[in-house]
Amino acid sequence: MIDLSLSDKHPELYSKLERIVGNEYISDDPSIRIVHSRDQSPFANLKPIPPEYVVLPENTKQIQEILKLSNEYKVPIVIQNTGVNVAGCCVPSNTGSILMHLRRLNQIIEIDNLNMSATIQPYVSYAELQVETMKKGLWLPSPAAPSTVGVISNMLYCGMSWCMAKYGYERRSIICMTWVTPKGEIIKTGSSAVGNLGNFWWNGPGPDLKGILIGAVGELGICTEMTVKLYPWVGGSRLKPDELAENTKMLAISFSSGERMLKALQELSRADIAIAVTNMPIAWSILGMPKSLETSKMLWERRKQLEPILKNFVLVCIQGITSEKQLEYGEKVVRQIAKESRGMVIDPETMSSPMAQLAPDFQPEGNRAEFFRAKISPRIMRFKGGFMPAFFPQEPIEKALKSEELMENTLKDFPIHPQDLYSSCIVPVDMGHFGLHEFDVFYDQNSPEELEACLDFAGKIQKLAHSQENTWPPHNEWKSYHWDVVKDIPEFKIHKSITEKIKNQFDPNRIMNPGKWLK
Amino acid sequence: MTIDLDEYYKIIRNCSKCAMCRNMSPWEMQSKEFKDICPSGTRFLFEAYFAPGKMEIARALLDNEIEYSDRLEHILFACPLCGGCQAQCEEVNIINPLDVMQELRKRYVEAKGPLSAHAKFAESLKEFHNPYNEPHENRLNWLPRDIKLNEDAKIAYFVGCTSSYRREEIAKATVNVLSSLGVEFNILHSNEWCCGSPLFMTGQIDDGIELMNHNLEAIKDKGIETLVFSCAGCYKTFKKTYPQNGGDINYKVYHFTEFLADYLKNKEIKLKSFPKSITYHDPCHLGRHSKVYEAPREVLNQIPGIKLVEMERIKENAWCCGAGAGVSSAYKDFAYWTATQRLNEAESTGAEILTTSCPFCITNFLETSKTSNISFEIIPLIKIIEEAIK
Ligand SMILES: Cc1cc2nc3c(=O)[nH]c(=O)nc-3n(C[C@H](O)[C@H](O)[C@H](O)COP(=O)(O)OP(=O)(O)OC[C@H]3O[C@@H](n4cnc5c(N)ncnc54)[C@H](O)[C@@H]3O)c2cc1C
Ligand code: SF4
Ligand code: SF4
Repeated sequence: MIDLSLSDKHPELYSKLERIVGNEYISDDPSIRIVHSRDQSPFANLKPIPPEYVVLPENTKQIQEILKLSNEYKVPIVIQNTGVNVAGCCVPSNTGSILMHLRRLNQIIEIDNLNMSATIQPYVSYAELQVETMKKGLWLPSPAAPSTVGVISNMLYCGMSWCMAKYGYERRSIICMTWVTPKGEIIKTGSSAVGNLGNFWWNGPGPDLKGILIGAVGELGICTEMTVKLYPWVGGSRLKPDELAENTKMLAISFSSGERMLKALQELSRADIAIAVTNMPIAWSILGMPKSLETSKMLWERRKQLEPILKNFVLVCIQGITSEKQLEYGEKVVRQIAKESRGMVIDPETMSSPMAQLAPDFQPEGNRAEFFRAKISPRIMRFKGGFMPAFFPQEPIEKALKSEELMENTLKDFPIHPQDLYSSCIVPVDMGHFGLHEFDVFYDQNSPEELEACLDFAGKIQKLAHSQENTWPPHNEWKSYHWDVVKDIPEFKIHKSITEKIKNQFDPNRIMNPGKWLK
Repeated sequence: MTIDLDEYYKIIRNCSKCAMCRNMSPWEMQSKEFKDICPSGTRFLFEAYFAPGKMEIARALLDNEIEYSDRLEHILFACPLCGGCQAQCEEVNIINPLDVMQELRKRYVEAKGPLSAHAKFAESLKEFHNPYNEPHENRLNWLPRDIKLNEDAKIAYFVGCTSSYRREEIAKATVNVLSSLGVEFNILHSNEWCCGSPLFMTGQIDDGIELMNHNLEAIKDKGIETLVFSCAGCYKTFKKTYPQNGGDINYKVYHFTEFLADYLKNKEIKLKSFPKSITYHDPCHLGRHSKVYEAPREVLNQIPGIKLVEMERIKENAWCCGAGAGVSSAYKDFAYWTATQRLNEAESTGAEILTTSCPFCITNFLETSKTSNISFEIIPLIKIIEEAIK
């Protein structure tokens, strides 16, 4: 049972906040607050805490004023942008918090064709930015997350896409930022820090401060404006769900072994011919491609029969950015690499045929527009309701096989049904010099045992990763309860003490998103 | 679908909060300006007004964590039940937020009674069998004298309250079109009562069932085989809501656009040219709720001279007119705000005419257009057909 009573510690705070944002944009009603007491993560579901007030500021100035107030009253403040994180990051860890929703900061301020960049506010999603930039022959790869997620929050959250072999992690595209510190000061990064030079260059005076905000899950301030790099796009001004983007080709390759697939992934990435290249996990194909959940479930039961084709499966998307010849050349290279690794190239239109053979009502959907704006990822969540991914960046990419083996051993006695644990994809990053390995757990939000088991899983998997060389254990998905998860790893103590110092400097009253990164 | 909320609890909890239902389908999105799908959330901004917020509220109500308040009433009822959220969710999950919201309204009314604006039309419905406080004996005032009805016809036209009392031109055009095509048809005369949609949509289910029972009895008496509607709301109520509430429909129900699309396909009918550019608004009750998207477009495309220019948000992704589910009576400004967004979208197509196949949408658009600066006409689809058939 959630306690929704209001503390009467600061009776005047509500009216002060109201004066800043206007009475339409603040509420302390239980039905407004309850919505922010949990999200779909096991963390927030186990300990739901509603905020005291929900406020919707309109601009940077209002944000500054709210922060000044929360410092004055020492009231914690939680920031929510698009709120799609799967990790309890926007749910209060303390009672009496203010939840600041950034929904009203929703403008694309500028799309700069010359500098190939866009300046945006937080609530602009990847889908929105893409539809406007694609009209101008530019784009920004979107994460495999629902494309409703905000560009800024996803970048600050270390977001990742299926296009990382070419474009790197999402945050690599950050050029400049305007950020309000917990004390209400404004920091500008990159060239925007200097007079009116403009927002064209990431390098500012002195050290590059933006790194401090990336991965800080809202503990060190709020980014209110960001300029991001855009990339050439010749796929047409709009996506059409029934057709592949213009000047674009999709190829699917099935490999007979994991080793062969990894080798090919590396080669494909190094050749730098694809805008997207990824191993598509069998779980995602089965759970995400069919439109109906029943079909997914039926195919999942028979997944053994699909393994020969879908187990070691790679999708490649190429685009003739400079010419048609480039597209032809790209295809030749993909086919050559596939041949050398003894992979079988399949037309993606027919990749669904093994599934169609097993499920007569199978309606394939999604592989045409999927790389640009994902639908498969929200679909996989319907399988059991909860979904917890774990990621390991690994170098070199071949190590993924070893992790998989270790993972299977570690999770043998895991209290979630083994079929709901899934070792899934390997996405090459930065021309394939390393790979991002993802493991997914599907769990039932309604089961306290499964929620607890997920937390246990989080701890185990971190330790497992830590035990391996060249594997970076803590990625982004457990940020909110990070120290709970990594506290047993000794090296992290050093990092913790440094970040504590930064936190104390930026946020001496510890008002910002407390408990999400540092305990 | 009617659901038992208690049994549905686990599904509600599994709403993944993916937020796909805040916007139209990302694959079909064409601009940032016209990307929204949820009038309630887009207007009132708090997360509680979007479908995932409402699912969390449903969960909290079932867990007895929150109580009814003025704000909660607003959250539950300042929503035209347009189903935009459900259409998006169907693409990715199985939550059916629209059905959950309808059940929440029903429970609210059981606990607290209907909203006062909704109680008013419920009273009118009891006394006059229409929600407009109009005498029942005036229900047929619109009927042109020269229209020949066939008392033995197996086809009947269910006129609906809005066409009978507020948009008489739609009722007249419908019977004129049927007559011009040589269709033998009848109407239910004074035996036609409100279909009950305003009650079903505002949680007053038992009163709605009374109207349903009356109408079904009246139709049974006439031996009707085909029932044709000019109102998307009445059509959806017969097609979906009645069966969900135990109503037995053993005859064909057609929206006039479906009826005409079939008719024009099968018969050689010469239509006059109507040289205009037209944009078509999908009414929620016909489109998302009943999944009729193609028939109106087929009919328009059959008329020579018409250039159909689509808005960005169409079919499953259409933006609602804003009037439905008791919003127009309880929250007029919100209904106008929602319609204004749609009028702006229609304006952006450059079309000369905005048309639609629901008298309720037409009314809200026309009322809203009085205060907005639009450069196109708003004409019911049946009027365009009437012109082309003359
Ligand atoms: C099914 C599914 C699949 C997913 N797959 C992927 C994937 O493939 N790749 C990927 O990258 N992600 C993926 N995600 C995760 C999701 O994209 C990220 O968690 C997300 O981008 C963060 O959520 P958000 O952008 O909605 O921000 P929010 O949830 O609103 O916020 C996240 C955190 O950032 C902080 N924050 C928000 N805005 C600001 C700001 N302006 N300034 C400072 N701090 C801020 C918040 O306080 C919070 O701590 C997936 C999610 C789901 C549900
Ligand atoms: S209602 Fe459906 S689409 Fe909306 S957030 Fe929940 S699961 Fe996603
Ligand atoms: S029915 Fe329409 S207005 Fe109501 S929550 Fe769903 S999308 Fe929003």
